[in-house]
Amino acid sequence: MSESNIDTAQPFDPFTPVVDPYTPLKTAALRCPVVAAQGGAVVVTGAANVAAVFKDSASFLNELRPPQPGTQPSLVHLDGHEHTRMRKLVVRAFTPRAVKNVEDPTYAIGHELVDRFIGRGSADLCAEFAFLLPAMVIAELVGIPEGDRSQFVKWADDAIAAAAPNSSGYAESDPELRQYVLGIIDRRRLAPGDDLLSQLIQVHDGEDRLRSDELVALVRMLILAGTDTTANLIGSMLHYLLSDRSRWERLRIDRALIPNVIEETLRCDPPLYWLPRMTATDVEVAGVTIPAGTLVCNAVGHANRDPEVVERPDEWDIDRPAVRNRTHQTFGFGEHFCIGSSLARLEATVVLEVLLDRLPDVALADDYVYEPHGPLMMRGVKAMPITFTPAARR
Amino acid sequence: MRVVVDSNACMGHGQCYAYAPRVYQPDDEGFCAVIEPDAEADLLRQAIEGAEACPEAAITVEKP
Repeated sequence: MSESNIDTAQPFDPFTPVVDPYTPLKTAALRCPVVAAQGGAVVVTGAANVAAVFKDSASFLNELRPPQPGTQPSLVHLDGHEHTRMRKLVVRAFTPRAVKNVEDPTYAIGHELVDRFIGRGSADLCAEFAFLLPAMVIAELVGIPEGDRSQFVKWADDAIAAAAPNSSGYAESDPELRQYVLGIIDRRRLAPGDDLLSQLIQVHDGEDRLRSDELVALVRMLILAGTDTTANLIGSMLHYLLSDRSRWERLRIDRALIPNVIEETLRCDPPLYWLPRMTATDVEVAGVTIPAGTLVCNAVGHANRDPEVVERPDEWDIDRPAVRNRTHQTFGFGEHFCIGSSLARLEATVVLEVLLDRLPDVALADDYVYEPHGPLMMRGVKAMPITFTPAARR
Repeated sequence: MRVVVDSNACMGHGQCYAYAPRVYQPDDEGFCAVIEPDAEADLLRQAIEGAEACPEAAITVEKP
């Protein structure tokens, strides 16, 4: 192993959520773009360096640790050949065209969630909305029957909690979720619908098909990858819009700003402000040698504020045109680019349309205090108490 | 050089037109439309950047 020349004089803590990680990270990165963190981990900063890490998928692996025996790693933890195979089989179900099929159901879910609290005049927009909608959309996408949705959402919550650090990785209810999904798979094999599971069962690449255990692993991955992330995007968007009411007022007058709101939030405060990779060999980034076996925190949140790439980078600006604001690396770059990006943007759009329709005078409650949701690299909002004029259910 | 997108491989991620809007644009469904198929000089550099950004490696830039 070669000598590492990582500068440990000004470490940064990527593992503890704070209200503003961007300022201390910017300071540390000015000394050296490869920033030391605890436990021998490093944080890579700067748009070009972050992109280089993503592009070199041979040196920077997604598989962070050997898979536990008896478990099936899924897309986000695969590399190389296995990753390409799995991705090719599922990515078609996430194109903008495919995702359009859940647009109407997503509106229905949004309105149903609002109906539950609209008579009260107050609510927690995180617990009662942002943290329920994405799980319900995944349930719809996968093809979970409506009657089973609440149970599915509970299993999803369990799976997410179990995936947190210092947890086992697998929830107590996991075998139940597994059995349930296997049951749905069997039913869809006999009687296909136009939901994702039916498509995945039918999708084939030449003679290749997904085995049942691969399908179950995929469903778990969709829950883990597509629930918290989108929930945190929603939370962050609403935080920016409501903490300065002139923004919300502008959006009320001109809904054409919706894409700008979404893209600027993705850029400025990504749901995951760094993404983990593991070095397969000693590798050099910006003149710094990172030893093999190092956890690399690829700081997309810092890359997205690179002044070489964007003006006034620390400013959340509703007027940045969305079409020119898509070079952020929130969804990654290259072969692991997020397959859920179209779904995420769709959900974010529907959320804003529904809230603008149903809660036009929504305001943050006086006791609202911003706290990131966490853990680790997750941003979003922990709790968002709001007030509004009570109204009727739809 | 000729810029060609394999429409079976294009999954509408939109990275090509995000990085190289002078060469690639979205069609009305968000899939890739090559607006400058005979890219040279400055446009060629952009064409390559957009092609490299494609997560599905759906774009080729080659001698016609």
